[in-house]
Amino acid sequence: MKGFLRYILLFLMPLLVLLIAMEIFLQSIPNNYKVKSNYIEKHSEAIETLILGNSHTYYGLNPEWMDQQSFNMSHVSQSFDIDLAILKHYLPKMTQLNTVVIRLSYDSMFETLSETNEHWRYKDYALYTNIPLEYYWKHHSEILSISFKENLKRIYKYYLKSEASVTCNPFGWGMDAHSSQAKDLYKTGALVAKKHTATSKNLFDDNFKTLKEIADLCLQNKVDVIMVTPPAFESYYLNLNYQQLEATVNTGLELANQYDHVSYYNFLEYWRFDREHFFDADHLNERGALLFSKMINDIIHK
Amino acid sequence: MLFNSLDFAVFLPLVFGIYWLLKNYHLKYQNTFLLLSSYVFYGWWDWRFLMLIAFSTIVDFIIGNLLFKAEKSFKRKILLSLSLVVNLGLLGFFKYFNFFIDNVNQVFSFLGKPLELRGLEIILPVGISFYTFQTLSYTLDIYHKKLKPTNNFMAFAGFVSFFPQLVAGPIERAKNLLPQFKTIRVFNKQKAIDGLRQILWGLFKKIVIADQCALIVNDCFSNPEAYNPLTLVFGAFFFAIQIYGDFSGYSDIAIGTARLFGFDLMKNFAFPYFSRNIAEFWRRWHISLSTWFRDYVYIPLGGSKGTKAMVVRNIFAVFLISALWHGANWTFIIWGLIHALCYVPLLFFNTTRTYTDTVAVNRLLPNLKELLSILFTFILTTLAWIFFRAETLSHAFNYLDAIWSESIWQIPNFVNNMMAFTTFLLVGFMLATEWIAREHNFALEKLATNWKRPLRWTFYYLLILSIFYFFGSEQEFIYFQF
Repeated sequence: MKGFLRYILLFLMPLLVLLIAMEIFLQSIPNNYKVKSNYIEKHSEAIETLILGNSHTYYGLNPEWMDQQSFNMSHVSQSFDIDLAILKHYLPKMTQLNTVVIRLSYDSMFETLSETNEHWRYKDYALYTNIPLEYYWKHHSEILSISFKENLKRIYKYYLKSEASVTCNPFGWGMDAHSSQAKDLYKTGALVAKKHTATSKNLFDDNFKTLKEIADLCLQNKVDVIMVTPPAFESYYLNLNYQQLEATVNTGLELANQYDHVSYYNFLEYWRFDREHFFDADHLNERGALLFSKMINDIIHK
Repeated sequence: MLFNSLDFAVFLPLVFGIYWLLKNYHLKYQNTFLLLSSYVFYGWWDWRFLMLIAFSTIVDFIIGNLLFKAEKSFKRKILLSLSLVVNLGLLGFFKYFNFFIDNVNQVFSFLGKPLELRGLEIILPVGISFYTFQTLSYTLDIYHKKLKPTNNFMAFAGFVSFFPQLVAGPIERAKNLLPQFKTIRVFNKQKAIDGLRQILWGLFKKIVIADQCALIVNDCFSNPEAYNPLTLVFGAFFFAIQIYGDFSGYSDIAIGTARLFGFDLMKNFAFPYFSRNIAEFWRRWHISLSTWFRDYVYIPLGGSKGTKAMVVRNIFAVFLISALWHGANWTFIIWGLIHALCYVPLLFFNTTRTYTDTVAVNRLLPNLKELLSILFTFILTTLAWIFFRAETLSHAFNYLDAIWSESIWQIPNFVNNMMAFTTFLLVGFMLATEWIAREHNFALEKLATNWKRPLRWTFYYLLILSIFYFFGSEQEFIYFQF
């Protein structure tokens, strides 16, 4: 047995060295999660407006265009349960916080990150933030969370091609949905609408409960909550499922009725957004983000 | 738990380590630990279905012992029937209930008296067809006085739920596997290394070959109208390779894993795509199931004894049952029917046992006749696989229709031509490796073993790196659904 173990260990040694080296290289690549986590840890006491949500707010709201000291803590595919965990973790340190902006997108009430095929993104929270979530053991490693092929590409892009790996500005807004690289709005609209249409309502009640918890937490800390359904291009909103959309909008209205400190705004079909404001059918580009940020800023002032 | 998952990559070394640490203690500790590990392995999917395995184990353990003691023929028949009703009843309920309801509805609707019976939302327990057949063979062997029952419950429970082969075979016989639970296993370094080599080749076939082929196959079968005939022909070819890589890959991992624990499982695949006729193909494809049907269906029906008409009936019966074993769908029945129709002419020409040896023994390449026979057999099996892969009969006919609709001589229009070309090269490498090793139990059994260590290890490292490279999300094995 000892001979066998020695033999196997010897055989596996080069592979283990390769994998450990890859893990170190990958974890050393700067990324949005690390940048945002560092910022919020350092400046939590000064933040007055905190933006939470998924890619819709990540690309849609740039704190630079807001008057208050604001920070965008949204990440792609981030769901309400993670928003709540962020709030629970940082709220005690955020002494100046007076407003939380949170998205209520068409798909938000019907999914959580753990239930999507993007659940590998948990590793970014586990490795680069201090947010306490329910992590699976694989999430504590880059190589165990993402495919080998994808990791090789990342190493190649950062170390050999010197491509930028941080795509957000210092205030957490995503800069890589640029108008110069806009996608076909009509093609992406129907496809994404279909992707965002839920196959079951299983998660609705859990998400509603989470939203209420966020509202209660903010109430205890005297923080206003602004819930927004972000703007989308017509090819997206015309292909949505009516019942799912109605359930989403009703959630916002119900919470706004129930709590004085919660307000809800539906910008999904808002007339001021046209094709020049979109990166793809459901994400704003930098022009759209400018307009949307200023509108939210006005709401905060109100 | 999937063999191609990170969970299993942690589970296996852990169980292996503890298992061999227990060797200094009593055998029963090792067996108990194996049983617990097997239940953890199975319960990883859905722990509720563990109760089914436990129930099946207890029923067949008790019936086996009662059968052995019973002397009266009537009592023996009652006991056997009880075992059949319990085992086949569970299998029938989980696997065929909705199929039965659908077909009853269709028949009554055809007769103008719609019934509209409602099916149930049933989750098929993983591997139920495999372990049910394994426990059935135990009772049937005792009934036919070919086997003595065991009094050792732990050994029997281990035999039913042995994790390497629990969910997709090989379907073991008690005669082979049960005695291995009763004897002390001694660690053998060479056997363990052979086991690891077999696991490596199995993972290569699953992750690098089958999962890559699946990407092309899924595109072709999801929308056959979008592709030209040659692309669809390649789609069918890649499915033939996918199902082989997937299932024989699983079997290699299962057999290799069992070897790590000192067990020898039966061979399940013997390079079936190098067969020269359908009869040889069925001696080389899913051997544990083919021999099960031979011993418990074909021979009891009369086998090859009797008139030609009776033999033909027996052949059709076996292929029909085999088709239904795979699933409750008319596509499987047509798949079985095609194989039966290809088999019957061999009966009339007495050529079912013409090829019992390995093709082109002691030669590097086959001769022209062998090559044409192999190609012809492969084309027949690939044609049948179209029905196996299709979701409905009309889906299969649409696929075939799209192949014949235009000229076949058009450049293939895959979604990703580069990926198709890469997959083609990988399949070529796998087939060439298996051709070289066709006289052995698995491709890496002897291949490269006499190379110098640096060269041999480099070869293994390349295989491992290719597995890493192509490992995407954890894809289920096709045969788990059966």
